[in-house]
Amino acid sequence: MKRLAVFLLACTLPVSRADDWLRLPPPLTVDADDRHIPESREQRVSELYAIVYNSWMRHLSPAERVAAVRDAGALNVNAWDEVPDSSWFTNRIGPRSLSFDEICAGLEGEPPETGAWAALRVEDEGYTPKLRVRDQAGRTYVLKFDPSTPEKNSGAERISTLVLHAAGYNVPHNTIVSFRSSDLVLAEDAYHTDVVGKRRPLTRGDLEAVLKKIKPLSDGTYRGMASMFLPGKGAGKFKYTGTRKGDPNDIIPHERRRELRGLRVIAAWINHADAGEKNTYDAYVTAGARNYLKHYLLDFGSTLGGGDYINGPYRVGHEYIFDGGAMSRSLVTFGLWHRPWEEHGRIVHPEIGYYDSELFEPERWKPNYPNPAFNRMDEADGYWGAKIVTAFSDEVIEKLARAGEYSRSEVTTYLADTMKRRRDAIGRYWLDRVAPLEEVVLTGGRLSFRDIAVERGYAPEEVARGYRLRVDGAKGLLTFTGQSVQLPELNLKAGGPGDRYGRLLLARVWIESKRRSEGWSLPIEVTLGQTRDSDRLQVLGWRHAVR
Amino acid sequence: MLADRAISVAVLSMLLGPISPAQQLAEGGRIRAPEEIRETRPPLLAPLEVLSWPFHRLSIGTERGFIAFERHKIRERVSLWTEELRRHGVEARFGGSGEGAGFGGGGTYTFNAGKSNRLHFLGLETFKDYQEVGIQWVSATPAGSLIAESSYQWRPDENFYGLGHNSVRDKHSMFALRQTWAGLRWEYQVKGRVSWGALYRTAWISALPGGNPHFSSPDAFFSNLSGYGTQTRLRSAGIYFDMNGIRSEYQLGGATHFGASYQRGLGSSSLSYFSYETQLEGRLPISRESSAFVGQANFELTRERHDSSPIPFYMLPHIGGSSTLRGFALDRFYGRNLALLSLEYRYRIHPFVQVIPFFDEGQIFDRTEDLSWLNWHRNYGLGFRFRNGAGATFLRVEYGRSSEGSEIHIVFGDRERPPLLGPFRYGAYKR
Repeated sequence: MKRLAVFLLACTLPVSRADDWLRLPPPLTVDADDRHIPESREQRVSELYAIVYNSWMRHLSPAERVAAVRDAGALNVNAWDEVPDSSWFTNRIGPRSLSFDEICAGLEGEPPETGAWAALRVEDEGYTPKLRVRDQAGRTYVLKFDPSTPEKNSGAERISTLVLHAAGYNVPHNTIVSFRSSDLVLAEDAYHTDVVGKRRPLTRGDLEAVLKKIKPLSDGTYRGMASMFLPGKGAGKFKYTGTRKGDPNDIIPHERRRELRGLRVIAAWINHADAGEKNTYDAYVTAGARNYLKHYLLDFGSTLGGGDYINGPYRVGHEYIFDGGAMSRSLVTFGLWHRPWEEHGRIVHPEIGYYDSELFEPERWKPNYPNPAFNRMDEADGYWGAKIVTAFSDEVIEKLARAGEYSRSEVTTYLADTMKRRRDAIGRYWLDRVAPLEEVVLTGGRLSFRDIAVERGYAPEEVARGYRLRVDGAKGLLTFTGQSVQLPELNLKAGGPGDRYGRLLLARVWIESKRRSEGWSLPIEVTLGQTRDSDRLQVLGWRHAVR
Repeated sequence: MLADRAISVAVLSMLLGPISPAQQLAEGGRIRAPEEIRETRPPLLAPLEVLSWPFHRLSIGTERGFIAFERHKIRERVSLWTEELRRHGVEARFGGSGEGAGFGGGGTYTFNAGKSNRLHFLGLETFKDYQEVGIQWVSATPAGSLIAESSYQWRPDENFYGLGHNSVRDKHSMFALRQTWAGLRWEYQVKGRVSWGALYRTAWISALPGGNPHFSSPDAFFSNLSGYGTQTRLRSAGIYFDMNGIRSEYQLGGATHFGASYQRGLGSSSLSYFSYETQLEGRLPISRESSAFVGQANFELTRERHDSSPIPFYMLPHIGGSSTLRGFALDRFYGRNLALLSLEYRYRIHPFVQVIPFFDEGQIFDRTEDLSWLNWHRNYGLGFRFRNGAGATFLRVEYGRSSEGSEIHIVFGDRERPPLLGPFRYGAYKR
């Protein structure tokens, strides 16, 4: 009842003026959020609080509910419905494809040099100990190991690092390494930190104790994941909601950032259910004379099938740890409803864990607990994420799977096949739900575009792909096939002074694509007008999934 | 990042951009101005935020608390201390000492833990001043375990409504019970599923005025109540036999318990009676690993010998409360004999949460001829059990409705049923 009242109240609120702004976002490909700022205090987060708040407490805040109901979409999108480059995100794959070599080459950092590594610190965190080492080039790395099954977490971390980097996110340089016990030498000031954070000088025995917990490979070497220290000074974590105090560059509420909302689709692909605040990192970096905060995603060891976190591995990706919907369903069906993953979930290869495509439903994928930015994802964000996921070609995915360096080839094959099938499930869902049109151009009165569903094989090519066009102010719909259409006569609006970018909005058209099943997709809205350089009618930009 | 930016700027501008890359970089602007972002807020959000201010402060405080908790590694420290204490045989216990005893805590200490000869101490105290102290020496051999044990309980707020099936709820009195016993037990287990044992105990039990000033003591309503205000000393000898065929919560299985004991007063007391107890339980799974019907039947009978003085009222079988009749107050009915039937449908809605719609009926009767199908006290209701990661129930919340209204039972912790009840009281125990 309370929820209904809040919803009704939200619906009665007048539409904000902001919606007009959203009609024509700026034609910028870079969001200059790297201006100099003073160093700010480290921001701490609590995972327990994130679970408690996002699972239960947030439902008690009427302001939050209204803000969610009235969410008018991501704010940091440009005229072409893309995310501009910023301290959060850099466009890489998506608008264009990338080769595997390009993906690897772009990763910030380097693998450690082989030879003796100075052991600086052992962090005994119980489940999986971590070792901090310095290579001979003076670079510092955190060495992490596979706590349960060899290759599982290190393979997942390497692959997902490359995926998220290619997708556009800032990630650390994570590499799979192998080393011998003799490669580790004690640094002079090395120390051991126990579970409660107490320090004492590190001994050779501590190192041996860490290595004893890891199963060596057949040649006597140890396999681990070397994560290079990020540049700059650590400034804590970022949150998936609000803005950060003390960072004047951070003006867009994080739950309104498309790269964080759309991350849900990419996370669904690689089953990154642990995408919470604890796995983020803000670095106070220097670029020339400027210092600013750069935002990273961290810790992908529990992606793919690496996560086994409360209620067993099969829940991961299907349900929150405390899932009100699933619990209510069990409650009202007297326990007779069986979660499909409980019955049909299976682990094919222990090196991968539970990562499958049969039970995967892209639109229903869930992280371990609700993520405020993921909760706000709308169709436009979902489509944006799917555009990135589907840009990974079969060849790139096969090379990504090989980057996990699994010793059994059938594991690599299974992983590549599953990643392809999950990618295709995402493509089939999102590129069907939203008109998947890009690069709309007006030439000689004819509007043409790219249909990425056709290009990427998610719309049947053999059948002529159907579209329909609606023009602002005109009655009726123009149905057509093929990826261009002659525009009917437009009711151009009266000219004006133009916006601050010199653009003069004159007309809008909407194009929908035929869905595989019945009906039409959510349309793309194309804005036509003039710029200050030319009085020729041209495409000024577009938005997807306009309702 | 700059190189990447240049690529994207070039690509997009080449394809579409009405603004040149140079111009874009020269703009150096933000994708949104702060005032635009402010304008995206729904206009009436500000008043709602004012209304939500207390909640907002609460959530900030909670977050700070959690951050401090994690920063100071409280969980890890507690876990370390717990592990360290356990290594020395010490275990802390939190929760109540049965229903009605309130929340409390205590600990156990086991000397020679894990060995065949061990000594075990228990101490519990609750905020309602319930106290329990126990000592147990176990000598385990392949032929069985010999257990020497002793227990002291102070139960200051026990309910009493009168004797018999038709006692009146308005006559709610309270008394305090001091119960001390010491004895020997021998138990033999066959493959963990079947066990039987015999025991002998000497007990000192006193019923005194209750500690709660809001309730009268039993003698205000019931004159000449047997055993009230005096100490009863007795010997109790008994045997029991248990079969447990329950493998897991939602699997087909059953369990039985039979026990018989003989009590005889010491000193000038001529108390002399037998008591018999039977428990039957059956489980019928409905949905694999998630739901099952659980049926339970419980009978307790007392038979006085012809020369016996009346059995003290607090030693009589009693029902009401979370272990028996959940729609009635705790220990609502006392009598010479009882029959209790219960049907529950247990189902899991989360690995940590179980929901239980239930139906109970029970009867107190003096003679077997009085047992009538038309005369049962009945109730129905709904319960929730909350478990920790290890599967132990740490909280039970049950709501029952009966002809006497509604009852909510909140029970912290779940204690195991003792091997043989005999004349003793233990509060509520695991169903």
